[in-house]
Amino acid sequence: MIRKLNHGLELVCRVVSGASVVVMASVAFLDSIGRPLAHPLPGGSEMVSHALMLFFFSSLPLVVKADAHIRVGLLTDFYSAPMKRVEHALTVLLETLAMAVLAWMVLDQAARLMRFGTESVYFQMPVGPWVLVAGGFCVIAVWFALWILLAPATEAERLARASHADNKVE
Amino acid sequence: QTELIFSSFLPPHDDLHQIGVVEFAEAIEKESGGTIDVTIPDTSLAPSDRQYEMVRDGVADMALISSGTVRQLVALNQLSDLPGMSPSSRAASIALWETYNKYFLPLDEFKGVKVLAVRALPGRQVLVVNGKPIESVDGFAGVKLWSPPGRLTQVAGLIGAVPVNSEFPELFEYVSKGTVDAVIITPASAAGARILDKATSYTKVPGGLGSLSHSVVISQERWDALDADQQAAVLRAAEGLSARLGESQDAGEAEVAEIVAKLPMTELTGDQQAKLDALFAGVVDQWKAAAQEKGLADPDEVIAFYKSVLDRELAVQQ
Amino acid sequence: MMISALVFAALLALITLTRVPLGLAMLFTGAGGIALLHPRGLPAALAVAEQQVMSLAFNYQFSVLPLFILMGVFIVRAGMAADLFEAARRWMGHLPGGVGMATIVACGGFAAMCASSAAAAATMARIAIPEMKKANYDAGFAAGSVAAGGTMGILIPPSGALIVYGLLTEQSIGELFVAGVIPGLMQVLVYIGVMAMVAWLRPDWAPVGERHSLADRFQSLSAVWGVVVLFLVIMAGLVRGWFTATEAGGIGAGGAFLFLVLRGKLTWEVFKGSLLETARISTMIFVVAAGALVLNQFINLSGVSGATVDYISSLNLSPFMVVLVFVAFYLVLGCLMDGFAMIFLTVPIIAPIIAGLGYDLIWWAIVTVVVVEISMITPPVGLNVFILRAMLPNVPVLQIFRGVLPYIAGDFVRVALILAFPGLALWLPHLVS
Ligand code: NA
Ligand code: NA
Repeated sequence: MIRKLNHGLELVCRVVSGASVVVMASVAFLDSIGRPLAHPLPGGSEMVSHALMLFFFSSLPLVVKADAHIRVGLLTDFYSAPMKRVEHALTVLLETLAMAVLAWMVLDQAARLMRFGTESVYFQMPVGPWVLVAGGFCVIAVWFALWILLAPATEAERLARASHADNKVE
Repeated sequence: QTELIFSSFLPPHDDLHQIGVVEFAEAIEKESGGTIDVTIPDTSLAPSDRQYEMVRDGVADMALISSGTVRQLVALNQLSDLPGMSPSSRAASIALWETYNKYFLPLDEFKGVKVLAVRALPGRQVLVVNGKPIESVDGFAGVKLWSPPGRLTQVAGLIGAVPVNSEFPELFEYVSKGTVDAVIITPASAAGARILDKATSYTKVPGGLGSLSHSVVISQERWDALDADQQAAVLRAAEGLSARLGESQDAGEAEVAEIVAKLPMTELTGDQQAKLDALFAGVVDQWKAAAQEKGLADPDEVIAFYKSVLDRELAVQQ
Repeated sequence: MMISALVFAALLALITLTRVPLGLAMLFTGAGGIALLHPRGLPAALAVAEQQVMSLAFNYQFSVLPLFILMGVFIVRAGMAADLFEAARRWMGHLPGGVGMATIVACGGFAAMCASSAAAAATMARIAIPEMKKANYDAGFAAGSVAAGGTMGILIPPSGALIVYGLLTEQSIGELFVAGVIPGLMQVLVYIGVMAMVAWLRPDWAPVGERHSLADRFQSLSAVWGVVVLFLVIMAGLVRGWFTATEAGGIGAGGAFLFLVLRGKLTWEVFKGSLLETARISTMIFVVAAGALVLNQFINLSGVSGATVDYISSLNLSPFMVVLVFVAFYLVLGCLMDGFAMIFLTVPIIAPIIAGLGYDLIWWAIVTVVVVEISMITPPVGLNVFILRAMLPNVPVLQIFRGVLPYIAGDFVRVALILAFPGLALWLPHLVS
């Protein structure tokens, strides 16, 4: 049941995130070709920036689920095994709390924007509802974080996640 | 001692920042005999389009608000932003300030903040950069015209041009690489963006194609918390601030007048001006409708009053 | 000052003693600091933090990051990284250290398609290491060459580090990219020189490879012209102002997608996988960037930068001495710290000081990126070395660090050249404007 729910949530995130990046690339591509031909895409940069916002927030649950965050942990390599377990529990707990506060902040921001009736510059559409959607994705991210917190990964799963380290970027 | 946080989104060398923030803050501290301490953070505590919210949220106590970025909240003060309304920054700033106090203040449009001064920029003009002078209204047809977002983009479309928007920092690249044919700007701003030397001719619209206005505000809550002496001190410091802010803009334009004088210039007067007025009637009507919605009984009377102050101040400046 | 020290101590504790994500650690220590400093406390801190996060998410300029990441992902999946290496190998393989030189050239070529150093190192490791092994290269030196060559990913445009620097310092991303071109080429040359030197001093580390016929060589070029054309279009477009950096990203991603199609490598699985990889990489950077911006607001409010400037000017150092002090500081910090974290944590404080001394921030961007490149291969914490270590379980990490040493020596030469001749970074961007 929960497995199915998680699967569905992840699918939603993937679809929105993938669609946003495709929109971003297409709009940027078309705008740059249209401008010299005296047909700039009206409001092109605003479309890109809204797609970007959706892209980041819909990808956030995917980052949490894949454990792809950038971490430093300078001294943690030198911990003894029991210390490592303590550190791991503490880190996962703090991380989940932080994600929860972040979700609350984004929702609070949506409420502010709606109260204020803030509009976008070009299309003059209300910004609040967009940020509300972003808040929704943050809630999904918290749910995934909780999942990691409450259902400790098996060794195999941890290894699978660690292999994403190859994707870490500089 | 009371601390007021005055957050500004402008760079240090900007006139509005220098006069409207730094000097104003010094004047407040001095007039209050040191009972008010004004802190100016190194950079803004919020993005430029969210200054009003920043003050309402209590993140800063004082700020500059650009009317164009809070259109849903501030409609009345955009009077000076309409086409033809800002032949000089000083005159327009004074006209807007007097109109604000006489007609707009009672309607309490600026909820949660108290306005201490306003400034309208000099009316935006057209600098041509592609070597083909624009000598009539019809000459705008199909011209790739860089314009700031908002009403000026609408205006650019109304005169038949193809509006091209970008962030201000990209303007230089757009001009130097020939992406646009002409720019809606004033000569001094063009000099600031390092593009004045790229101008090939100048098309002047009386009063400008439109302007951008700003307000210097303090949070109402913080204002109410000041004692009577402190309030009086702030008001003394703010006296004549609108005029000073406008003056500095006009002075900036005067500095580049010599360079501009060398450019071939067309002024769209007479029947050309009438043609523009007809094209822009809808824009003015939009403002009137918005103003009526805000409770302004007779927008035409207000426009007439504003223009009478403009004429008075222009006569003084001659 | 007390509060600033407290906040930085908390941040340091979080990122050294635990593995809490860097971005979240910066976000919450920054917000906490604002709450402590601001007369309106927590509500003000939350308002500031929320706005910073959202304005970054909506920032048009930042869209350049996912677009270029997408381009790199498409290029790898189109098999073009492998083709780059193969072409370089056929042209240079017969020289002493030839396969290694080919690795360096391919790293440089792939760096022109990819915004990240770690991705460049991981990609080239899969392609070049087996070939160097076949040619009897010293395992540690082979791995070190890929680790060092991979660092070019953030110097040769497109570059994630330059994008972030541009956002933090409000410099034009297009101009920064253009500035990276000559120092990037210089890095390729210096590293080829390092390879030649090693091949001469230690032929057992980098032997001579096989020679290919001229026909073979030219035939290999047919597979790489696409990469060259795409890079030239992007750079020419940025230089000539045909499009903005974001649009260049759109064109790059679009062009790379076209290669994927033309080479018959496009499947629904490949497409989905590319988007997912792009989402993960971009967003992990987004989280750090958002946290850094909140921390910036705290630094802004605390006046730490101003105090640092006052302190430094009280030392009466010449401006160039100050620059040298910062470079030395970066080199030391770079031994211990992740490169990205270094940029996010230090650029907001150091760049304004450098600008205050009258230096060009575009030049400083290149200096910063070069020292960050070095940080990725210096012990004890060198991300690119760790990546190679993870991919080559049989090569001890010390052996890789030993293999990287000749390149670090070459890097010192590069830093000195860029410090002594700012024109290396500034000539091309100035030529443009
Ligand atoms: Na690159
Ligand atoms: Na290092």
